[in-house]
Amino acid sequence: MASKLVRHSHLRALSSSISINNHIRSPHFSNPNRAPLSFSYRPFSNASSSSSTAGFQRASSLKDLELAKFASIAETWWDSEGPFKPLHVMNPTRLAFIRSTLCRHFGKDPNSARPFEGLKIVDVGCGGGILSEPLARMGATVTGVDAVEKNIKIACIHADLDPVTSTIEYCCTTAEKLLEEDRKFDAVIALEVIEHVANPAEFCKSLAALTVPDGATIISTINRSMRSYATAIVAAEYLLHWLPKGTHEWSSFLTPEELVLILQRANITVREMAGFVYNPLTGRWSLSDDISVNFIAFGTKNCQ
Amino acid sequence: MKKLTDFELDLKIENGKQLIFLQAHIRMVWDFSLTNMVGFGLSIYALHFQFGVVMLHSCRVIGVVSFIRLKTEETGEIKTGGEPVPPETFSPSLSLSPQLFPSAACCPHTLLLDATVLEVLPSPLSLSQHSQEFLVKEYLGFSMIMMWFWDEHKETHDLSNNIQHYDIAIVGGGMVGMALACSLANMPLTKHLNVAIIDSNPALGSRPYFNKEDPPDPRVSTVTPATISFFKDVGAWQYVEQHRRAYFDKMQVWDYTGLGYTRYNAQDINKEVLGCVVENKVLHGSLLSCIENTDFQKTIYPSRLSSMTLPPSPSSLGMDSTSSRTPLSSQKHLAKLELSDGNSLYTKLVVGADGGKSRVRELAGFKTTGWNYSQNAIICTVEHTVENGCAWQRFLPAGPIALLPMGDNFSNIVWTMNPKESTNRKLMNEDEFVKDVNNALDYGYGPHPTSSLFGSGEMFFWPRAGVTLSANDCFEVPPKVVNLASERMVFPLSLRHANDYVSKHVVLIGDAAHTVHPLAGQGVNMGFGDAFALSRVIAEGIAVGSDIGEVTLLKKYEAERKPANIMMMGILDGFQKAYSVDFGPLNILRAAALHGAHFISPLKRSIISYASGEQKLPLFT
Ligand SMILES: Cc1cc2nc3c(=O)[nH]c(=O)nc-3n(C[C@H](O)[C@H](O)[C@H](O)COP(=O)(O)OP(=O)(O)OC[C@H]3O[C@@H](n4cnc5c(N)ncnc54)[C@H](O)[C@@H]3O)c2cc1C
Ligand SMILES: C[S@@+](CC[C@H](N)C(=O)[O-])C[C@H]1O[C@@H](n2cnc3c(N)ncnc32)[C@H](O)[C@@H]1O
Repeated sequence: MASKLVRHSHLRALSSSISINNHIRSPHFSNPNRAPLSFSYRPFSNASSSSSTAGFQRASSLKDLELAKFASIAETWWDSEGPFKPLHVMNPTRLAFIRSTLCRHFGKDPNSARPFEGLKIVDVGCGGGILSEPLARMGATVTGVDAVEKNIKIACIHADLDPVTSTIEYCCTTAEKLLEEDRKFDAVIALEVIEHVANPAEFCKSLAALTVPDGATIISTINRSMRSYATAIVAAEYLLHWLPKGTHEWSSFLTPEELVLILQRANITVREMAGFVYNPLTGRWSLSDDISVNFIAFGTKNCQ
Repeated sequence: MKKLTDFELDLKIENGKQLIFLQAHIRMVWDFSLTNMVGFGLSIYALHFQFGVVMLHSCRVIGVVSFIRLKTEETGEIKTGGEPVPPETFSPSLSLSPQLFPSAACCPHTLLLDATVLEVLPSPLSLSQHSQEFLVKEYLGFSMIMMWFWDEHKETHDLSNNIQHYDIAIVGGGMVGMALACSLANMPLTKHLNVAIIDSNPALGSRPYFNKEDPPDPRVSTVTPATISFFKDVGAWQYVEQHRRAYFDKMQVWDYTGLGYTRYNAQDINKEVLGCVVENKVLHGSLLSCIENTDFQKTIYPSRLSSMTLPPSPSSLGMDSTSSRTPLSSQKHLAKLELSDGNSLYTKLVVGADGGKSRVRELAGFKTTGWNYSQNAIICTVEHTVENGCAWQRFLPAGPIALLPMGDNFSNIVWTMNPKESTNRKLMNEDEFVKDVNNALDYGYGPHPTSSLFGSGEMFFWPRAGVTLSANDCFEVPPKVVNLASERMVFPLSLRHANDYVSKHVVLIGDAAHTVHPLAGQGVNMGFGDAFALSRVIAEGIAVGSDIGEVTLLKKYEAERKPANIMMMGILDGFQKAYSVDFGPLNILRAAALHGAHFISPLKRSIISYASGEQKLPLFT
């Protein structure tokens, strides 16, 4: 597939020593009932068919199969026991990281209930808005974007339940499209998205371009380590049935070093990084120095 | 009382023999269309007069509207009648059928209500007609009881303008509910919250005032060092210190068989005090004063919860609904509470702090486990000739009697017994009761524990290491009671535990979640622990932008409190069982247990430090 090849060669460019396993395939794409590829996203409405590989080469960060996976489970975004359970459980932990790094960087009062008052934040790949809503409650002016229209619909419906979150601006678009509109944000956040995009380096460049000089960029993803293969894919997708099988493709994961490198090239200096560790006994995630499975990075955009 | 709009009162008062007869005309002007209104009711309330002072918040319904005449500017007059209903029940409701207003054009925007009161309380004051008129005019009010609309869409729209929205509604403003409010008011992350407190207890509306000369109230709590430090953290302890309270650093527990006794000393657990006995009204008043001195936004509803509607779970979020963004749906994630006075409110989180018979627990469908002990407790205040500085507890065949220091030569008695005995002891004359109490705390039912049996603990091979000084303390007889200084109050005892403390938008704290035997004075301390834990969990949620009604957040509170409370309940229930049945020969085991507790300091330390509110039971660490 064309889009796969793009990513493939790109990773090889980053680190030639990594052998890429390209054979982990999602079983459910062979099942016609489970792959409703009828999603459409407004900017590319003419390219909504599943077979239009050529259409996607143009849109650098989009990966059709990845998007189809999300579209097929979109209705369950807010079911805290459903497929997105890991994101729900992890949410307080990653928000604690975002709160502490952004408060420190922007000199905000960490004792305030709405410390992000006055900050413009974009949540790239917002899905159903699991991250956007808390950010809005913390006072930020939030824009949430996702390439899957169904996600955006769910996100809108859910945000409208609470007047505080109904202020979130949701758009079905991509980081690149936002750039064309010349939008800038104090903080650009893309959690658990980069492993699903076609070209991580280009994606990071777009994120950087959306960030104001000296603004912040926060990215979280899954490490490409044996442990992450074991925990994230085998455990989350197969054993715990948290995620539908095939949600992740291990080969497209970045290591922390690779992420730092591509962000550096995009003019973003990573200043803090933390790992998430899951304690199966308490069922909670906590922040730690162990970045071998899930990790989150906070960087600032260099002023030219 | 919430007014839907302004109204004008025109009162005519006739002073009949005993009653004030009143006729009022109210003109109500709605600022929204009435097309959708199907009915409403009206009642008249008055504030209670006492000694010429108006007790705020103790208003009661004194009459109902006999008929209501609607007059509309557009269609002339429409007259409908109401039914006379006795006071304290609901007012008549008038149903207006949609046919009355066939089109929006003829719907009334102005309503003229003619209200006649059927019954008014006799005036408690022998004042001139003029002064009575003045007072009545000043203190009578009207409240709309209900309004509803047949168009659901309209309902949410129109009512949202009138029904208040809150972040948190605390149902029950007892000690635990107020402790939660106080803690929320004092934390930087929660002090901005908009909180409603629902309780018809008039104490919530008045400034607490206590006369130092009065003997202490029999309703007291033994607060633990953990509770004291919680009160200090929220800034409420300074108010407790302004009133009567009695710290104690010694405790003696023994039983009627004469086989064992044990004495606890604060120094055993490296503390200055074991606890402090404070009147419930002082604890409650201190929390209130503490809240008054913050700029916390709280609204007190002097009413009771009657029903509750919880929003459907959002996992059923349909894609079929239009994605047009209208704020109309915003009530759909809120709980709606309806109060007995007709008010309603919306809230993100309902806190059930409404005591052992919790209505919130019932309405939310939480199951409970528990039993009644078929035991009652008599509580009262007694007086000595000297000051008592120790907490005493003696186990008698029918249950324990506790004598707690209250300061100024006063003590408090909590005496557990079977219901028949309790009725007798409540009714017997005071001198006999005092004699009974002295007997129960001295030679009644059995001898004093003697030193020769005292050593028998050794035959159970208790390790002797770590014996502390208090082990050598001698048995003492509590100071004699000379007087009964209050009424005798009787309470049935029970144990009840909610199987769950939380569900979406609902959480239980205090006696609503767990009612225990008052044995070790743990009841309210467990509740304070709940209030503190819940406020901290809410603050943690706010820090990371969580929705405070979210069940995953609330589960953290449950995970923290449930094991602690269950353990405490188990300990207390175990104690209660061991001491409420006469085991005959097994008494020796019980005595051994007391000896054991007396001798093994590390173990004893664990038990008291747990009973004194330290978080974990170190036995298991
Ligand atoms: C005999 C006896 C002795 C005790 N001794 C001690 C002791 O020494 N130490 C100790 O720690 N504990 C003791 N306790 C236990 C202690 O009193 C309770 O644990 C404590 O009062 C619980 O506080 P709460 O705020 O949870 O409930 P409550 O004090 O019961 O308060 C509940 C509040 O909710 C309100 N309410 C109820 N229903 C509604 C409704 N539908 N709508 C609105 N409001 C409502 C009520 O008006 C009330 O104000 C004793 C209990 C008894 C019976
Ligand atoms: C695992 S989810 C993460 C959701 C959200 N950020 C969170 O952490 O809660 C990944 C989301 O990224 C979206 N996505 C994938 N590729 C994208 C792209 N190139 N541009 C925008 N969104 C994308 C998917 O539709 C999906 O909703």
